[in-house]
Amino acid sequence: MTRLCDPPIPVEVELSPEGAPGRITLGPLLGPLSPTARWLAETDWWARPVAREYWKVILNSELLCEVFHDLHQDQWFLERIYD
Amino acid sequence: MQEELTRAIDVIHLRFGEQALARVDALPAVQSWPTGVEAIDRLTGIQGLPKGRIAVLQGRATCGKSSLGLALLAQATRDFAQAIAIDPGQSFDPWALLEFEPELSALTVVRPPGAEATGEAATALARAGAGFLLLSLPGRIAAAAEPWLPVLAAAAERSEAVVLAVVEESPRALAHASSLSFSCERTGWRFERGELIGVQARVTCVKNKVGMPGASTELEINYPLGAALQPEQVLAEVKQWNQEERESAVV
Amino acid sequence: MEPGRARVCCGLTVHYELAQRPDLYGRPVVVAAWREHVVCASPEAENFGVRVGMRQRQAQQLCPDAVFLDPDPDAAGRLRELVCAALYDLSPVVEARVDGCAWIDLDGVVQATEAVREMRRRLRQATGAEPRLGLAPGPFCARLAAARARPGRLLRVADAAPFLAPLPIAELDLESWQLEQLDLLGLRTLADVARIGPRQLESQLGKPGRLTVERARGQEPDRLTPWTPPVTTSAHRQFDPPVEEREALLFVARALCNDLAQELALRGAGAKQLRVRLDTEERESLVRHPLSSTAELFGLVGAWLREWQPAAPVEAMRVELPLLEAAGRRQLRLWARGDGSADEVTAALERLQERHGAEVALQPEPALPASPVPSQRFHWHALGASDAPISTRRSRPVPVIDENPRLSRDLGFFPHRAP
Repeated sequence: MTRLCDPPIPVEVELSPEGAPGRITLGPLLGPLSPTARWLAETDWWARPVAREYWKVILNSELLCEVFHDLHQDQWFLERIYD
Repeated sequence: MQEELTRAIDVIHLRFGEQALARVDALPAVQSWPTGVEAIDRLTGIQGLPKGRIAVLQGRATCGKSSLGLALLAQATRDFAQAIAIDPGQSFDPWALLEFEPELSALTVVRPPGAEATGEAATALARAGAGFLLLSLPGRIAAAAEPWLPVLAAAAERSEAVVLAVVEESPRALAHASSLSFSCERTGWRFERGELIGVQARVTCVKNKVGMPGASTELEINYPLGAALQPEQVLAEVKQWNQEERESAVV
Repeated sequence: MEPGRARVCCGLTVHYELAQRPDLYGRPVVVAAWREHVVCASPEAENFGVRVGMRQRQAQQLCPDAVFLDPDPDAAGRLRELVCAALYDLSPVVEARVDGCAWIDLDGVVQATEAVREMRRRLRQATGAEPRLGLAPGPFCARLAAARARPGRLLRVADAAPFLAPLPIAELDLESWQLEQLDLLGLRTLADVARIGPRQLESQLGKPGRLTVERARGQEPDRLTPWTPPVTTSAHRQFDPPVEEREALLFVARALCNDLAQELALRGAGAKQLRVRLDTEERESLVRHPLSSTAELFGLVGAWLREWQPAAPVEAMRVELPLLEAAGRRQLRLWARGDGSADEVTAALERLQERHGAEVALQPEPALPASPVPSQRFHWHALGASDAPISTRRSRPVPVIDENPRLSRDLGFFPHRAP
């Protein structure tokens, strides 16, 4: 169903006016994004808290992916590809 | 002339056995492994994937090929003592397999470091008799597979292992080595209440050395969103196409 | 011996001298040194009256169109060794002769039917010709049964005496003068010989006479001479002129490993020790799991050669396997199809781990399947590792797992935009 990028791959994302990911401008996959879902993931770790804003997006109208914005690092990552 | 032909046939039988020269309808049947996905079993013509042969699942971008591969892998973990996922791209996610209720104790994931090691691993495991091998081949690995594909095919034939390669595009060597090839093509996205819940895909049997090629089927592949799905909800057949129907529909 | 219990299987192929030239199968071929005696002849040459033992010149006159080959007893002997090695893991008692007869004793073999099938396949692979097979209570009867089977077929003899009775005395392993003697005595078939008392014939022919009567009665006085496998093998190349380029050494090393792998494959053996010699220098390694394929052998040899710095151009390379695992102990999957023994697959995985590291073969175990962070959902265990899961991340550390994670809060779906 999906391929997991472990560790997630850092990408650069250009946001749309609504604040959603609009385009990947730097990374292994490039192109416009069509977001289809969004959710937050937070876990409390005694050492390293994890807070991520996940987006399910369609890249270039053909490839369904999951990217997330690491809220602590302020960095976007590509994590999953549906193929 | 007839005498010379008879003598030539006798020499072939002496050297290679009587099965070396036989009528087509006298050749031994290929054994099949039922995949648990009825749509796929129907497409092959032999009610399953052929044992001892290489099958290929190919398709670009999001088309459901990995979902299909995982469904077959999950069934293999239930049917065989050892099911192996060969993952040179290091992207295999067992979480995605859970939807198909696998027997995880029968699964081993092999992560070879490169094209040559991928061939070495696949061949060694086929030779050792692993029941099912799923090869998820990134493009660069598939492109460099030519040296080891014939060896893998021979090892699989001897042990009757089921080998399934999942690729974006099948390079010539893999196309040649395979006995069965499926092409996956996304025919649409599936949305429900504004949310993407899955894809619709057409799977066509484009090459078939064990039966008739050309048959197609439409599948719905649904992605779990929080609530767990039953395996039959993840992969559902929508419509079965045969070659004539597909051509007339296109027209 | 229990009457009616077929326990010896004989496989008849071409003479191993003839097997050196499978391209000549189907043609009249005679193996004889110049002006010496015929060592063997193909059936097509025998049709012209060529017989083993006759002078080469006579054979030429009888069959002028035959291809005449010089004998190569070393090559025939090597093939015999390979055949024995190939059959050795089917039965602990194996015998093969260069005339193309090979026997295995099936007494105590659990899956005798499969063993016979494998024997046929391996003889075919070794000689390039389909063997004839005979199954009988003893080696003499089994050989005669095989001679009467069609290529690729098995003739089974449950009761030796009635099978042997009508056969001519020429089937007995006797000298021509002994056969003439039997003929003078009016003994023309094995049934005739079986009726004679052993002492009576012994007085005519000596000790062979007694054995002849016992054979004719189906009493099988002969026992197979079991073959004992060598525990070492090697392959080597001489270089003239000496070689100093590493690529050339690697090329030759791969070819040597390929030759050894083919031999190991035929024997069903693996090497637990590997030694490489370049002139006077050598390197050696003991391995946990036996190596058997070209890739496995060359993986080790090639790695050494790449870091080796020979002091001078190399005149000879030798790859030795001084410790072979006995074929009888190696679990070859002879019968199972499609789902080999877990042990063999595990052994193959462990060999991969030895070459590429433990993390090449992993098994997933659910940790927190419901975690919103994918990397926390599963632990990965290296095959054969005891308890601690390994990290499969290449660059980032795995967060410590919290027992009460706050799971994902879905803040609502982003408005759908059609692609």
